[in-house]
Amino acid sequence: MDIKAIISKYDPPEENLIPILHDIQEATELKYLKDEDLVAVADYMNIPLSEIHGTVTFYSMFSRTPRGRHIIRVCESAPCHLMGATTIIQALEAILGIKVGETTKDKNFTLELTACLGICAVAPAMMIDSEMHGNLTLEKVKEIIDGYRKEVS
Amino acid sequence: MNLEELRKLKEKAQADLKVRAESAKIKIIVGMGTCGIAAGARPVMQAFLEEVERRNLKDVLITQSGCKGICAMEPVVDVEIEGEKSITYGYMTPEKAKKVIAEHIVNGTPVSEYIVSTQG
Amino acid sequence: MTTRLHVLLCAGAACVSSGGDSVKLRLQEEMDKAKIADEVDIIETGCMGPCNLGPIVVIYPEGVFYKKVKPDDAYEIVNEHFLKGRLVSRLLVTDEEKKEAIAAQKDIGFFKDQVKVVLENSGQIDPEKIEEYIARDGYSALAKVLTEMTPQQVIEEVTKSGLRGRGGGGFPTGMKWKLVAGNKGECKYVVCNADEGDPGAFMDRSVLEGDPHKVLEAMTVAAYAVCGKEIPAYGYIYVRAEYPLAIKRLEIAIKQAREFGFLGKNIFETGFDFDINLRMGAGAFVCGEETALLSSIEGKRGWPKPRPPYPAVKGLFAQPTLLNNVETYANIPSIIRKGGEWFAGFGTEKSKGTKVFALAGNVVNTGLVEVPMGIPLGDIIFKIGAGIPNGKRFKAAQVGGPSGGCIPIQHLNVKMDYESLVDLGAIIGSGGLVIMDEDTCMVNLAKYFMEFLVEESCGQCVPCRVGTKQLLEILNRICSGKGKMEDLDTLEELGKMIKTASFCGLGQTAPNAVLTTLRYFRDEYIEHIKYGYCRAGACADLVLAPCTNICPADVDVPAYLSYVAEGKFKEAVAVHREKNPFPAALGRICPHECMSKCRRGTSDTPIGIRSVKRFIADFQEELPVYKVAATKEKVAIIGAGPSGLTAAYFLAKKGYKVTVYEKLNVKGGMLRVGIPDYRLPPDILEREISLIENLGVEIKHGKEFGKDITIKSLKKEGYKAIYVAIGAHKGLKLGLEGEDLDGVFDGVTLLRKLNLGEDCKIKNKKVAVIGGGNVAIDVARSAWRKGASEVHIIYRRERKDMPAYLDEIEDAELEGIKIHTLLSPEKIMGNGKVEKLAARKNELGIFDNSGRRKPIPLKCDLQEFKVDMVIAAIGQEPDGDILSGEGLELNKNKTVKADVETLLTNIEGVFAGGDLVSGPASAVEAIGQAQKAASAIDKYLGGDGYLYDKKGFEIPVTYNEDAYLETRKIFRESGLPVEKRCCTNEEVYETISKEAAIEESKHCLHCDRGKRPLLET
Repeated sequence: MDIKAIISKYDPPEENLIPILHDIQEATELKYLKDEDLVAVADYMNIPLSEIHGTVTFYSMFSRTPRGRHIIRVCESAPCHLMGATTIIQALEAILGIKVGETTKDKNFTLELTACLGICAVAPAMMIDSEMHGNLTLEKVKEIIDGYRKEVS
Repeated sequence: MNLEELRKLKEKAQADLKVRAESAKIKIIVGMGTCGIAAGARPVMQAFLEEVERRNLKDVLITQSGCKGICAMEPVVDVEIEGEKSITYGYMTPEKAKKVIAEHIVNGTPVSEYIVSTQG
Repeated sequence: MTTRLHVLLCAGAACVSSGGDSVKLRLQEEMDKAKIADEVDIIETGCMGPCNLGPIVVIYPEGVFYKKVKPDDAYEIVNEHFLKGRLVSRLLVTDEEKKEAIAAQKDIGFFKDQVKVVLENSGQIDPEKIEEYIARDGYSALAKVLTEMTPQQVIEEVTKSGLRGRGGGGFPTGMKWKLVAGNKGECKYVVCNADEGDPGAFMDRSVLEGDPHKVLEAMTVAAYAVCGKEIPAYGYIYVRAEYPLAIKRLEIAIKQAREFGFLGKNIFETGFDFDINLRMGAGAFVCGEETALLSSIEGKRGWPKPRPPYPAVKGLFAQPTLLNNVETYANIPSIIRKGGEWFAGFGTEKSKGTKVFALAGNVVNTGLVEVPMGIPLGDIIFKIGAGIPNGKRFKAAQVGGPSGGCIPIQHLNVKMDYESLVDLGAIIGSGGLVIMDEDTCMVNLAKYFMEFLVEESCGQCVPCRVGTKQLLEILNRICSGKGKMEDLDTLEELGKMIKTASFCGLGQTAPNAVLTTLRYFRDEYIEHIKYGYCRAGACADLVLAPCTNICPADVDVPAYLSYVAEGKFKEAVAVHREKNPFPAALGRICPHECMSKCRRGTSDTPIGIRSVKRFIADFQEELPVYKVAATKEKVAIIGAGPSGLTAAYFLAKKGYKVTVYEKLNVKGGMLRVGIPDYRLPPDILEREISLIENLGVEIKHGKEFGKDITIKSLKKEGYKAIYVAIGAHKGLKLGLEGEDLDGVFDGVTLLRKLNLGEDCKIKNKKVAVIGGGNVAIDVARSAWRKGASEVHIIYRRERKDMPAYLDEIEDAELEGIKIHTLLSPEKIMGNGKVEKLAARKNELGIFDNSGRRKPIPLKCDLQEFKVDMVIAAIGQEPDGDILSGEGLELNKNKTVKADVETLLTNIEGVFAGGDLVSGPASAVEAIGQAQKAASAIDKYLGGDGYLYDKKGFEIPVTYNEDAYLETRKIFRESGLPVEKRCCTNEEVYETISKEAAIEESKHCLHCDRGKRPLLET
């Protein structure tokens, strides 16, 4: 999608910065914010580029580096931790062959941690893109990832 | 939107949600065990549903139960009206269902010739 | 055509994440096939509450509640329930007490004690249909305020309700509204904080997903209250990006509300304008803090700002701003409709209304519960939450997220309201309630929360940024066994400093988890620091394997299982004996905590460790002979029970000349006279003791402590150290009328007599046993074997509270022993001898310190049992007279005071252990104490105190482990059929076969792998 088209949906006041950034990131194939896009936003909104950088780096959901087509966010909050999130993270690392914070070579998956997803009652849980998965077990994790792999291949 | 519109909207919406009220003044319970269905309970149920809809009856709940054990008299239908004895009709048909609605539910007089038992 | 069935499908995030979507599709398919699609409506609702039961389907008009519905269940639901009206019973919730299925949602325990105000519509309506909200009085509160009330009246009503902020602060909502109303600005903002970041809290998500219009209506009401019709008001909802479904539902709701004219211009034709915008967060915990949230809405970094000025004065875009959280708003429509007084009728004096708690962690029913404020914590966990799963014990509840605190078992009666929790060092916070069982390490938990807070600290102020890091460093050190005692003081000081010096709420509450765990679980911190021991088995650096970690005798389970898997039985039993000389005895009667901690048990049946242990001991035909010359000092041991004999074993192996003095003519103490022969045959025990005697330990019988031998006499005889381990053999009295009648016994005494071969004339007698512990079960089963015609066990609490081992209770029931619970004996009646026992029914009241409910006698008729014998098995204690006569210092319960680490008593050179010190406990605990004592005695006499290699070796395996990963059926020894158990003392369970032992051992997951040197072969 054309960056200009995204930006022009919004009015210039600064309060729209975060929504614009969300939109751009979502529309970018590898789910990150490119330098030139930030420059375009700064121009449009008339905000210093440095301030935009500051905002982008403050929020953990914005990425400055390319990520995978699917972003896997494992909940690391207390209930998930109690119910075995650590094992789930290890399993995902093994299945994907990457560490937390990394992206697979084929650019299909990025593995991240997230704050509470609010589905603590079915902990441990993870969110892939905006899809929630709860009551995770080693087998279930494998199944879910296999499902996504079939989808992308 | 004004108050009157809200009131109307609410009435209509409540009628649609009646099934979830769990309590209604009048309950029509159709026996839908295998025996009942085999004896024709489904068209009876349909007939009740249609009649209630057609007459726009409020506070009538149509629901189902399993086999009551009087399989010989199927299709069996219970009518429970708040504060009254519950009445069981036997050998029901869609036509009889219409009559039950008209006489018992609307006019308050049970259709004595279809009654097989009275309780409570 | 009218639909006759409404199928409510929970579409809350938790149910969707466990597969709710595909259930809907399949139901639709099956209904099409059955041609009933037009009679049935499927409605997707918001969260219904009990998320652990998801995906949930509720069917109206009956209100039938189906749990854990899978797509494949659709066929049966449609064809059985929808078509034939027959419930699919396997999908119903079962009542654990009564063991019967419950059909209607309202009858399920989880819902019974709840009062729904905030959640009244969640799970009841389709959140994407505004009509359904309207049907349940939606927007009528807005209509009422706009057409009938002045803004002041609205504020008064809210004030009257006593509602306080539900986001954590607890600030009175009415007062907040009044403040904002009174402040001047060009315009005002009404903001909803939906940045529900506290881990473990998810009620706001649920409201937004399940009943979004409620929040919109409340915000519009609020806007009118603080602005009236003159000053422009604008609304914002700030939602975290982690809640995509909530965002979607809000977007739909806002669109609908605008279409229907509940948002926008001239609402209800009153000239009042208001609209709401949605703002999405981007992953920053601190944005839940109000000033940070407002910065974030403005498009800036979410940094907190100093207050004052408060948002009510100068908030969003420098205008007066009303900021409440989702749950607070969600109370407003009901308060307006039903009145502030109605709302104030719930809750306590200072905490009015209801509160939603998010129940998560180690609890059977997880999900959302809404209860009146002030309900005891224990009721939420045990009544609504149905207790702790997998038979584990409750340890603590973390209330209020990472900024909250941990509440321990002794405070289960605490009222869940703002003030009571603060008194315990916690806060109600947003209402996250994370339940933790015995396997949670509290130090590790504090460390975990600190990691979270270090990560989420915004970095603006030093105390929070640097302080939390320092706290974390110390906690890391303690969890890896490198802590120092002075670290505890540092944690406390630093924690207090961060609390007072931090800028915003995040920093001010950050140390709470550390401070409350320190307050209530200091022992655990000390264990980590002093002994490198993590009792929960959670700190990886300190735990070799969970089985070994929990074993009081420290037996190296993974090593002997590995040996058995390789067929090396001699080596296996040698590993066992290195730490515990009683593998055959404990292979039969050990409470096997190891198995309850076995990691395999989390996904499969735990390894049958005790059975394998018993096999290796029984399989060994010839006992090993240790040759140690007794060259060192003389040591006397008093009491030939498990503790005394184990101490003798270790000391003899170290070269001491050990003599054991025993009052009875048999050896083994409680193992011999306290445990019936059908559980532990005497010859098996004797064989194990002979191994200790072969070491040169002399056992002298008929020597009673305090009479035949005294501390003085032994010292005179040249004993350099004395270990007193005479156990607790004195049965406690009931203290009832009629206790002196003929036919009243105490449990331990009777067991002793029976075990020594006395008949006790039980045949054809009717027997009542009082108590719920192991002695009660043992004596009841022994009486049954002796031919009693009826055996009743009378216990004052519920079956699940009985301290006896579960498998023993089950065996007793199998043998026909009747267990009567919630019953306390009141008097024993008879003429000279027992004829009747009268007992009174109890109900359960508040929780005691052990986390069990106290029995309270009911005012009702007494229940009478016609019996010939009454046996009191309500506990036992050491013989205090003898001990104090010897000059030993005693505790209140007559146990001997001894140093925790060395077991040294108040008398020089005299050590004490076993039941004598701990009170009645298991044999393996007595053995653990004997190790401690033997080591301390060795040191006392100038030795190194070294008994065995603590870490040991990892035993290499040669079999294909991957072949043993699949789950298997429950492992249990085969036993004697019930009809053959009567009137015999024959052992009930058999030793497993060699093949079975090898197979079982091969299932070990080798938790010890890589944690110690591999044994070279």
